[in-house]
Amino acid sequence: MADLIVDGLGRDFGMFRAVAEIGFEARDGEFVTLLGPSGCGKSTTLWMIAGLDRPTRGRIAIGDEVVADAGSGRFVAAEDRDFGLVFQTYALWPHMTVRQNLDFPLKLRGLRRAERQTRIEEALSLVELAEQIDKYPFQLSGGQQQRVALARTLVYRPRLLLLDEPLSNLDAKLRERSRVWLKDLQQQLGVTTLYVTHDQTEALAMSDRILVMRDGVIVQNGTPQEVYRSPADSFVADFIGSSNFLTGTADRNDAEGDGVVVAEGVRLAVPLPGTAEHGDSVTAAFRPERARLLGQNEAPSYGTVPLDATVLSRSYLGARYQLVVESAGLTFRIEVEAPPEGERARVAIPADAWMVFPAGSTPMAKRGDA
Amino acid sequence: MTDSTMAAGERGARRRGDASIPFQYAVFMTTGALVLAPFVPIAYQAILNAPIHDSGAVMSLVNFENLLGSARFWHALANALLFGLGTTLVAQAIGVASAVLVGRTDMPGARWLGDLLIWPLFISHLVLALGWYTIYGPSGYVTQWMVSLIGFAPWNLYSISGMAVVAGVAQAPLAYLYCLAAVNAADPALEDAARGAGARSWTVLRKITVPLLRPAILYGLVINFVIGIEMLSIPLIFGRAAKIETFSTYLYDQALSRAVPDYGLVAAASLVMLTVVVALLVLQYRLVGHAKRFVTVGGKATKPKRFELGSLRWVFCILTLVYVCLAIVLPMGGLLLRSVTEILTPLIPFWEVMSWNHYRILGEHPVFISSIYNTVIIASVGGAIGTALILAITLVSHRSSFRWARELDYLAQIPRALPGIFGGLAFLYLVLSIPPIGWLRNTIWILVLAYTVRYIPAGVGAIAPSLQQIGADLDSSARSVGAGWLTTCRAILLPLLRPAVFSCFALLFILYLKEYVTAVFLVAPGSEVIGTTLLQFWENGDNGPVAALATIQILITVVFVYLARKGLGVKIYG
Repeated sequence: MADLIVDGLGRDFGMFRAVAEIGFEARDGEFVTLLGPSGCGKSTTLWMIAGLDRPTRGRIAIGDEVVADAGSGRFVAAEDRDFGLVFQTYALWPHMTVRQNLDFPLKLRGLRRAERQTRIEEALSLVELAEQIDKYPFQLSGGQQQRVALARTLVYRPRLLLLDEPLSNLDAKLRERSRVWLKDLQQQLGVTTLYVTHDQTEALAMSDRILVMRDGVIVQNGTPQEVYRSPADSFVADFIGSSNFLTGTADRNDAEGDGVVVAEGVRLAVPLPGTAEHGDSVTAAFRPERARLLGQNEAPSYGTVPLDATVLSRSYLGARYQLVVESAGLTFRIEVEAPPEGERARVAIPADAWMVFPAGSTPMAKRGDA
Repeated sequence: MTDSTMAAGERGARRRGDASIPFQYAVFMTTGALVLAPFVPIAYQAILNAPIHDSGAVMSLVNFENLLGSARFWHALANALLFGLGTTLVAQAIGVASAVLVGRTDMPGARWLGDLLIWPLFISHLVLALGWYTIYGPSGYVTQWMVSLIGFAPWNLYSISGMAVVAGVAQAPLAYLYCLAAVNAADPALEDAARGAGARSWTVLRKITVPLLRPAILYGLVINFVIGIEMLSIPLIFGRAAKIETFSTYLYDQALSRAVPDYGLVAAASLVMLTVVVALLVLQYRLVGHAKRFVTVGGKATKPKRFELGSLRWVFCILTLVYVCLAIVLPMGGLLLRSVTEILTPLIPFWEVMSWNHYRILGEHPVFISSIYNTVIIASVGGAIGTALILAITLVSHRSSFRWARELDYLAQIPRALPGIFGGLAFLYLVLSIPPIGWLRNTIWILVLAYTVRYIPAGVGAIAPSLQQIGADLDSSARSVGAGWLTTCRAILLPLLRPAVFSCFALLFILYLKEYVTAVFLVAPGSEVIGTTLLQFWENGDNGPVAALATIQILITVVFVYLARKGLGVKIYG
């Protein structure tokens, strides 16, 4: 096993820059996810790493073997990279049984019959499909097909496992189970994995590290906890989880402490990062689930000023309620376990719930269909 | 599988020198040579003042001067245009009407009537013309019967309009198929909307359905016009007796009927013909675009509602049936009957003059036997070779990262502009001008070569749509697990393409079986095919053996189509 090193990688289609210039490393055994909305360049990146697309610039190496280098013109074809790619469509060969699908890559590697037999059985029991060995793909359910596709890739023990939204064609319940199962399998095998998805929940649940992509660049590279708790910009804050955004002016004030003036005469107590100067235009954000409702006489925690709000609408999400509330001319979403009795509510946003970004970086894309 | 065995995994597929790139170049070069080479000698000959194999020849425009200064040429050109126009009108009228009737109405028996309507596509123009001659010619069975009934013949096939009717019947299936595809692909919601707005069936048909067919009609219009202009058999059989010369019979006469052909003049005339055809195809491309060639009929959840003809449904059914009988069944039956009678006339009951004599003559003359043998070999072996080449072309041009893939696709479309008569002459000049390949001239392989070039576009059209139905992920996944391009084609694409490959072969078999125009300039003693022998013996007036030979060609076609459909599950033409 070896590390994957991507350096200055880019791909243009005519005038369109699908991937501008990205660089990252995936260490041996690591589970790395490329996460972003559709059209962000994540699949193009995966395709280039797989060898199915030729980079316009930059290089890709596995260990010390360079498999693509636009500068020198070096390009190792997909079939010579010995990587494993699992397709969103599974791409099982419909005219071959499960056994034949798995046997094909092994035959290409010139393995003996007995060895191939053992490997196929191992790989199928790994994905819990040993009984389906002589079925054709069309006789299997979507979930089973997806596992066969994975087994077909694992059976030849690739240097690198590449997964292109492998769970997106499964129904919600199955997707949830497959997440746990896939992550366990990856840890068990210790294979370096690059996972592409637009589903933030998948990314958060499975990854060792997440690379958030937007418009062909990586906007944040961090652990799931990091990208969720400290998003690099308002786009990440909105794309991973969801956030309320308020634009205003930074106000450093010795008497009242840090704050953001969001409207004429409306000042919210918001801790400012060191980079924000007094008078800067900023975007202040908080996640709906971090807001709390206070009882009539309940005191807020230290440093938090409660807002008196009117409830505009409420929707029941099952475990929680989502409320749209209005306070001092500002409208935002909050999520609470129990809704207030009437129209009025006291909303508290804890000081550590605030995220502040430079203004002008308001999110363009809304979150994907999680 | 444990971590340790995982880590010990060997690196990559073992490859024995990947031949994909050399293979792709080989396909590209072969196609380029096959498609472009025939143009060179004929174009060169056109500007030489002597035959191309004459070492004293020098460049000059004398051929064009002679051609354009010849009143006969201009007359032939005018006749060809007129004949083409008539053919197109007849073919389009029959084709559009039958497509709407079969595809969109509740006419009884629409399915099997539809199957009968396309039969002229399987039979060569030559055989169809001979059938019409037998039944409706001046001494034809029905003509004589009419004369005995009313005292005169109410039609005359020995005229431009008469020829246009025969040719129109021969070409109607093409118009029919284009319109049928469009009819089936039409969005039923458009018709439902018109009904919702209060239009009755007849109004919907006239105002919505038929106008929506306009692109398909236009497409068939140009194609049929082109085919009409370059058609050889019908003007040859009916036009010559009446001294009506079209472009192709003019070329035929100049190249074959004279003791010493004027090679330069023929080359110049064929270039003029090529120019006319290319101009028409460019016009068509401008009008309709290329995409129409791949009209695919997708599976729709809602079947369009069929128009109810009411009490007229039986009238239309009988009309269609009468047309099929008169235009297709009767001429074919006439040939069959002619082949087993000494003389075919309504004046003598045919059972009194029945004999196997004509078939006996076929058996006694080696030229007949070798024509049948050659034709079957060309259709089967040549068809298989053609299918292999076309498959390779389609895979490289549609499914590889070969750097000239697009150019290959364009190359493969060039023969569409090549009239059959031009193709034959071009290959003739090719073997004449390159002495080392002169030996080809006396074999059937020159025919296989010329036919294959001519029908590359048709074959690609049979395979490409199926290839486009196969998801690109299936090849990408094969590549990612370690298969090279050739291995991917062999192990993944070829098995999935099997039905399309069979269809392509069946189509080529039929096309090669009935082809004769390309062959008339290329056959030599020993390499005759059924079509050329038919022409040769028809010109000698041996109508009986000609009918017998034509019957054999029809029988081979019927048996093959039946076997291909039942045995291989192949679809030929819809």
